[in-house]
Amino acid sequence: MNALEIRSLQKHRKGFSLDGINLTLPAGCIMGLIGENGAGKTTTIKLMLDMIRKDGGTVRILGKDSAEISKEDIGVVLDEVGLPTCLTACQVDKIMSKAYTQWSSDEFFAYLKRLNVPENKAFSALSRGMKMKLGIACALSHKAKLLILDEATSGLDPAVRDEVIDILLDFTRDEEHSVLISSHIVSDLEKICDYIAFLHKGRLMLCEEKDRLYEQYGIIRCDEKTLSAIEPSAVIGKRVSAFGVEAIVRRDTVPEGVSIAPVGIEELFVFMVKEAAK
Amino acid sequence: MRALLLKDWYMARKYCDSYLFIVLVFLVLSFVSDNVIFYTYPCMMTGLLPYTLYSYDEREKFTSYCAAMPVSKRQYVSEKYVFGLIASAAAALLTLICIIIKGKTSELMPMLGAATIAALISQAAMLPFGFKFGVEKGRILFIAVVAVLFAAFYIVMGSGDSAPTLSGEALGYISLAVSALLFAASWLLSQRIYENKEF
Repeated sequence: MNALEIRSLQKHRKGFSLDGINLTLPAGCIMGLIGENGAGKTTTIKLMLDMIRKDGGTVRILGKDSAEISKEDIGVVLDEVGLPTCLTACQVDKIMSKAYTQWSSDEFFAYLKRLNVPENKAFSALSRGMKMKLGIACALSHKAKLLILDEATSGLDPAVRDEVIDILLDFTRDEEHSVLISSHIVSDLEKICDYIAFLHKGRLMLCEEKDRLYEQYGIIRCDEKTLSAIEPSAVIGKRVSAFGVEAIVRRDTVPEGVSIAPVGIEELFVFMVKEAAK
Repeated sequence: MRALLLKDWYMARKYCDSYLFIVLVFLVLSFVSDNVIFYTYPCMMTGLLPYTLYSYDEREKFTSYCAAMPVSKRQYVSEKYVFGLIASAAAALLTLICIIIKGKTSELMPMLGAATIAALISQAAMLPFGFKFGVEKGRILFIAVVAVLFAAFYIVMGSGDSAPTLSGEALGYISLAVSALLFAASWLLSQRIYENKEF
């Protein structure tokens, strides 16, 4: 059973359209949803959670339609955490224990301790990073099977981001647990994700296994003449400078003798976005 | 709903502590003074509570967070009405105890009844505006609608023959029935409005 299946998802607003998104997240995997600001990442997540109405398409979460799935099985961290600012972590625990049937106070306080979140300080007095950590602790403490994180690592220092990444990797050790994490900090996603999806101006440009992307694409630095020998459809994007051409291409189309280097996910995304803008 | 009631209780303790302080002071003062305001104000203050708590939820984006929790939109709305009812009932009960201790039930009970009805009607009137238009716009529109209604009432009462008079008791029962109907209608309307809301 897939953790998430999105088919032809659409949402139209003035000045923005989410245009027929198709995406599958297998169970036990982590998918990174990459996109620039305003690409539609948060809109996609809100459509998944039925927080906004779809204009078309279907969303199935853990085998059920998104309108029927119990939110008990989904742990969510939004970019603005959304907990009432006067509450302390202890009060949040008492509230959540009444909201979720499978809430575990022991797990919650263990995460707070691991992430160094104070138990008796009001939410408003916490730094942005602390607020996010508290939100993450809440999402992880009710036996959720799918975690959805929207820009959850933004505003966290590198050490804490690393800790959160370790927690997410621990979470997916259980094959029934999956994670969808959206971010524009590609380096974080590159460390942990099994699948990568690129969203640009409401369009899904790519959704593929990360390792397959590394196998399929590479970066070449050459002159225009060498590049012209490669079929245009295999060139994902190029950057011309005074010193030559840098291009991301499909590895299987590169002529012999041309040196091809590995490409990072961030480079791949930037080149694809620039090509789409032309 | 228990989770939301507990959350609103924590928030009321923090944000509405001045209201609670005034209520307690007025109840204490009711023992030393017969001023009717001490017997009516505690109850009337509870009329503002649900809307105030909703305004904090909206401002702090808890409404979005709640949409991702196992809490339906109907439950969210219902909790605000239930919290208002509990707060008004608690204020009315405390005031009633003071009235009974003072031995002035026949004089002050109708006032307490009117204050409780006013609290319920103000909750019923304000909440749908907040859910539909957002807290700030809703507040302005509510004031505008009340002003128009008062003006219309003033014009109607001032222009024609005097309205038929009712006995105090009959008026009390009718007011109670009308306020209960308004409260229920507002509850249903708010649920309908909130079901269509996007976050």
